Amino acid sequence: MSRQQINQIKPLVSVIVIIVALFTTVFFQMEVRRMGYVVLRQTVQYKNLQDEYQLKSMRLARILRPDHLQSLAVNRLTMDEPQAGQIIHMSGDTVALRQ
Amino acid sequence: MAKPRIFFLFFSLLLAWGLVILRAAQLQILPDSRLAQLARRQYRTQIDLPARRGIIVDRNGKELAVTVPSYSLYADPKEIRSPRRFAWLLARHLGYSAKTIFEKIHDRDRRFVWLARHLRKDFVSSLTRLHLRGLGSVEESYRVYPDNGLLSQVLGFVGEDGSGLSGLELQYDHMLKGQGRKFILERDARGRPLLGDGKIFTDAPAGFDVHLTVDAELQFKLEQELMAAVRMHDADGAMGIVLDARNSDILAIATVPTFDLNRASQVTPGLWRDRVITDAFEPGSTIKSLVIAKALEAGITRPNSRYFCDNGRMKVDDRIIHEADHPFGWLTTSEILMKSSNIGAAKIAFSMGQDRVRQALQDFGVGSRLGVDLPGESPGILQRLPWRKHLLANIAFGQGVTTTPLQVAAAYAAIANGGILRSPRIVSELVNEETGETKTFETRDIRRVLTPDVASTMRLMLTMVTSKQGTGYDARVPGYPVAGKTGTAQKDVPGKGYVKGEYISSFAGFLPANDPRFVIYVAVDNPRHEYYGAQVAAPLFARVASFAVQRAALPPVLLTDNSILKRPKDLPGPPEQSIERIRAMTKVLDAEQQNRTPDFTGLTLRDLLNDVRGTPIHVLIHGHGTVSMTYPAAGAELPKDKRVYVYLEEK
Repeated sequence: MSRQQINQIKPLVSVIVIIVALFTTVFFQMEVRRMGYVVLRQTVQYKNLQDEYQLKSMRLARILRPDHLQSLAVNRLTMDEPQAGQIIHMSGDTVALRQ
Repeated sequence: MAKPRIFFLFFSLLLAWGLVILRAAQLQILPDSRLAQLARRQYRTQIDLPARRGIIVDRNGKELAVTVPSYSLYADPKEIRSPRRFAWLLARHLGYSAKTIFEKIHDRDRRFVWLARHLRKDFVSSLTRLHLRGLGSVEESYRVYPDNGLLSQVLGFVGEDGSGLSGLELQYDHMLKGQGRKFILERDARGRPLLGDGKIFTDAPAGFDVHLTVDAELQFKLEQELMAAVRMHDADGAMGIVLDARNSDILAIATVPTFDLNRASQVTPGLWRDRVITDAFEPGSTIKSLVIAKALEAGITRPNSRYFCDNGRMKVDDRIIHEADHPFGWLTTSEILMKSSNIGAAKIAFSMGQDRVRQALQDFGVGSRLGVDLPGESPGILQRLPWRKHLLANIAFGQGVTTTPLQVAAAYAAIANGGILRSPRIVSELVNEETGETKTFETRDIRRVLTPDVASTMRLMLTMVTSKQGTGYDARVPGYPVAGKTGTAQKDVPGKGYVKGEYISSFAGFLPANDPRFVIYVAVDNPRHEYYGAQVAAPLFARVASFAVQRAALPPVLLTDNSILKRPKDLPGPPEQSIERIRAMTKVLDAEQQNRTPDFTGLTLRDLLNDVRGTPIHVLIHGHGTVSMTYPAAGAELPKDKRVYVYLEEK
């Protein structure tokens, strides 16, 4: 291309560059805005999961309450409470102190 | 003629447009605070993040108080077009009558009325989908106590606004509450906030979590045994506390009857009181240990020093002092403790003098607060000097002075740990899960009250109380030496004096006596029929203590042949399956294949589970013993889900 032709194209290129830059700026701003909405959806979902976790923790704590476990052990598993002084298990080779 | 009209029109339009352009330029370029504020209101929104109330957990991390999200419904009466229709539509879902709802919303001047609080999210969502104008929902948080009545008086509860009203919820309210946060963000035309940083919502603020020294399992056992004792002896109530002997940490603390913390507002306020901390009453003979310990410390008496106990009747001033049960002649100091002689204790107090006795009790914490981190601690009453001789005698065996169960337990812990009085601790630390900040509460020594030698001597003397000749024989725990003292105090009602026939039975002690781990104090208020500490409180102590040592897996100190199980290799192997068992299992398979309920009658649970293993039959067990009946009955058609309800009964 000759210098004269380049000089003739320059204004057109400048306008094209400016238009592309403006469109790109607008596009990125739109992307930022869109990502903001995505983040908002994710935070709402995260909060919902947190709430669900708290509810489930509470339900687990209710299941593990001592009176419930005792009721299950006695009624469902037919277990007995240990007697006072009952030794549940001992191991070892040496005999313990005789009384 | 036409030309001037054209010019006039041209300049008019020019002027009008010029004004418009100037006005636009003024609005766009020149600053205007009022317009800027209006604009900000349009595109900004405030987000409030309330802090989640911290949880309370026991020493093993088990949740005792938790906060869960909840949703509450409100109405804006001004926005409601048809209040009757609104009330009718909601009544079906909320369970109220339409009239009740209408009465709340008929006043058009009100802009906010609660309709229902603390509902589930899915339920509220179903109501908001009705798109009723004037109906709104707000997210709140709701306090739940998963264990219902466990540790009820100590935990306390919160009010409707989420603030603590009693117990630890009140004591640590400012730490549990946390700090909410407010954010001002830009929003779009639909009101959605424009986030630059999602962490704003993910890092929800939270209060501090409270970690207790209490063991929930031990707490449950203590409450269960206290309730059983109340029922057995037809008593008015009972109290108990278990301390860690080494550092006076509170492992369990109970006042019965308890109440359901989730329904605290529906019970009598008298039940909210933690009597272990708040109620001071005459401790009875449990105080003798403290007086005698200090007498030993001062060299005024020795374990074998002898005192004549006046054959059960001693005149002091114008009063007569009697023994609780048997009259005694000559007793040593150890025997005075072992047999709980009032006259013997009085004589030791006389030899100490009122100043020394008062100082002795003060040293052990009587008459002052121990500084436990629970609200409402009572200091008890220790009368000022001078004392009449009769009062001195009474105080020696625990009348004429008032103490709380906490004070007695802490005093016995001082004997158990070698002589140091410590402030009992119930909160070990506060932890903020969000920031990671931790505040730890260390054990606090108050003072040394005994030398280690005297403490050791006292432990030995108190062990004799649980011997065959002692009043605390029923406080024994097989395998572990127990040291302690019984107490039987007449009940003093304010304004009435001593009430005839009403007593408080108590036992204070620790085990294993050679290396104490647990200090336990139990008291039963006004037991009917039997009332001595030896009969009522000592067995109660034994049951609680037995559980405590089993839970801690403490190896027994005292062993007999009965305590030792054979080593596994000496045990016989599992029995081979008998022909009868194999035939029974085959019958079950046959019945199942014909879609009939097998006959399980008479089987033990072990045989039943063995027989159904590998088959699609799913048994649901109720009761214990052997199988008495099933549903469906034997031979009936099996249901589609193959579930069979099996009822067991003891023969």
